Amino acid sequence: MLAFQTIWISENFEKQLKDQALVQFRGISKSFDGAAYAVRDLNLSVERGEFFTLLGPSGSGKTTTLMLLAGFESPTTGEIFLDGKNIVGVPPYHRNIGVVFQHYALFPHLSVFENIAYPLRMRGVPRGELSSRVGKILEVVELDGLESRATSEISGGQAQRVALARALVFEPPVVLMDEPLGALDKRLRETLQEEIRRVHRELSTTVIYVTHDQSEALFLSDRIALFREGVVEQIDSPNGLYCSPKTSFAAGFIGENNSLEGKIVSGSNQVVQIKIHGSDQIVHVPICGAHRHGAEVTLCIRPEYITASPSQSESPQAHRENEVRGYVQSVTFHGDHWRYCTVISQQENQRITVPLREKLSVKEGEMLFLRWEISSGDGFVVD
Amino acid sequence: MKRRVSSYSFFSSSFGRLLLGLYSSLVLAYLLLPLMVIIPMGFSSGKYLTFPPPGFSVQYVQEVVHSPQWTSAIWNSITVGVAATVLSTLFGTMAAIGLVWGRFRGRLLLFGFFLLPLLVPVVVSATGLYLLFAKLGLLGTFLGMVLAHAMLGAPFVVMVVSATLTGYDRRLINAAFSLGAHPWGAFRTVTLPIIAPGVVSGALLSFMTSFDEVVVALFLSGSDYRTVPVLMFQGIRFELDPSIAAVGTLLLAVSLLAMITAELLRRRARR
Repeated sequence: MLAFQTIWISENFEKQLKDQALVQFRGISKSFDGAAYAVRDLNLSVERGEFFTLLGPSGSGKTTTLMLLAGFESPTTGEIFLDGKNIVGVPPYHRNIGVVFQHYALFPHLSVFENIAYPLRMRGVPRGELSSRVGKILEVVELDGLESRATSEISGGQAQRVALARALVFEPPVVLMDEPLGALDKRLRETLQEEIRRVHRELSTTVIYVTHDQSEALFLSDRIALFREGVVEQIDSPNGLYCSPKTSFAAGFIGENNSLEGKIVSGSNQVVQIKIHGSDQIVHVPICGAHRHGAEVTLCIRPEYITASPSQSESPQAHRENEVRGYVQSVTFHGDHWRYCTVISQQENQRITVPLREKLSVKEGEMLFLRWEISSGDGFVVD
Repeated sequence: MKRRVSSYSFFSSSFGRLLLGLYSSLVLAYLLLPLMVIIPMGFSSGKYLTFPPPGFSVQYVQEVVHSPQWTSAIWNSITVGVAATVLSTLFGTMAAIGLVWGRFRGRLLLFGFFLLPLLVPVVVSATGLYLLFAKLGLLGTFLGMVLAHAMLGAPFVVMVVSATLTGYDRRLINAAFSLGAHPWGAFRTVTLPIIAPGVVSGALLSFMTSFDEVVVALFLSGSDYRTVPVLMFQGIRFELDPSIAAVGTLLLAVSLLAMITAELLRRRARR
């Protein structure tokens, strides 16, 4: 009976360990000057094997968060757990975390091979094992044959692969990447995004990635934490973040979004009617959170959800669709689509995208009717 | 690959080239003149220090090599030079790191302070050291000479190493830390190899400073601890035979050797 209990307890304990997040931030705040906070009361956890992205504009605290985890900065308050252990106060060289730096930070006096072998040498890995492990990781990042090159003799993309290999070769439980593709041109960036995704899947390692590029974040991540002024606005899957943003900032930062300002005039709990400022046009908007009659609301609606025509709809479906008048500000060509900039009730710059073959026969200054399904809009109460 | 940019200038014409060549040769000759006097005289066969020498012989070189006075002076110069270089390089490099990486009030002031030995007239330093070392019983000792020369050489190390450190990307240290290197390991395997050319240049300058320093050495030498420049200086006042020139030639050879070694080390470090 006792033995059974012990087994049961230990099994339960192991299960608990397995369920536990690999990385946890609990109540982390960081202030460099004691007044302003770079990161404020941060709580997040990253699961094993996850590709987790910290996304936000520059100065939003995402890089600071990464540096806190790497150990180059220490938090003002709060705790960081790695594998269940509090690592605040542990120096970076004892954390066993791989870091890929923004500008590669390759050692200029060492060859490609020696750069990648560096973490293994620091860990006293014997020579034979060392070269086989370096060889293996070189294959993973597709750099075999370049091992004897100097770091000054390789391209930016190759340098990034070396940096990646160096951070992966000692098999750390988690790899941090700080805007690793920021310095590369667009095409190379896309190739390396594919590469990073492939390597992440191949090695099933945990990655925490920092970027300000939302399309990169959407493409790579399992989950994204959206940062704004040191605070996490929303943590969600790419799909969740794109399709159901929780704040107007999230709606505006991820993908393209129009925003119309208005005031609640009536409505039930989930869908309210708002009167758009500058005219008497009324639209239906799904809204989340507490709200009251007369509250100021921002309506966010993505350009691709809007259809437009020069004439009013013949069979209006007011219970399902919104229809508003607008005036064409500009028509621009974007290769695979046309883009119409419109003014709706004096609110400028409301964009509509139309596939190439469906060009509308309207000119600048002419009237346009814009329609979208009520459920595809998002209303946010303005604080 | 650097592309050579060509543009028209006066010196492309043949007359211009001739003028430029003439001018350059004159400058070169001017720079080499003292050597062209000293080296032949070192191999003189005459009895006195005269130029041009009456004939060629190696008798004075041999004399110097076999004279206990000269050999001990050469030994003193080399040991003092090496010891002073080690001290000044060690502390100069440490100071440079603190001055460049440190973030504290009065950093620039302190930097100027470290360069003080360059600004203070050597005679003033020498007098001060003389009076101080007389009290401490360091006159005419190896230790006294090393300490004095290390002080004179350190500013060169501080200057050159600071300049090298300014161009050093400190993120490399964080990279080394993240890969498991302890602070000392990161310094030894990353920082030091990268700033090595600066450290070697500083060390070389420091060694040369000590090796041909005469003012402080004269003040501190006392009666029995003499370096080569001191012995030469005293020698030229009493006995004007060509052995002075022979020693000069030897000094030159040592300097040249030191410079070549340093350059080779630098090239190896760069690879």
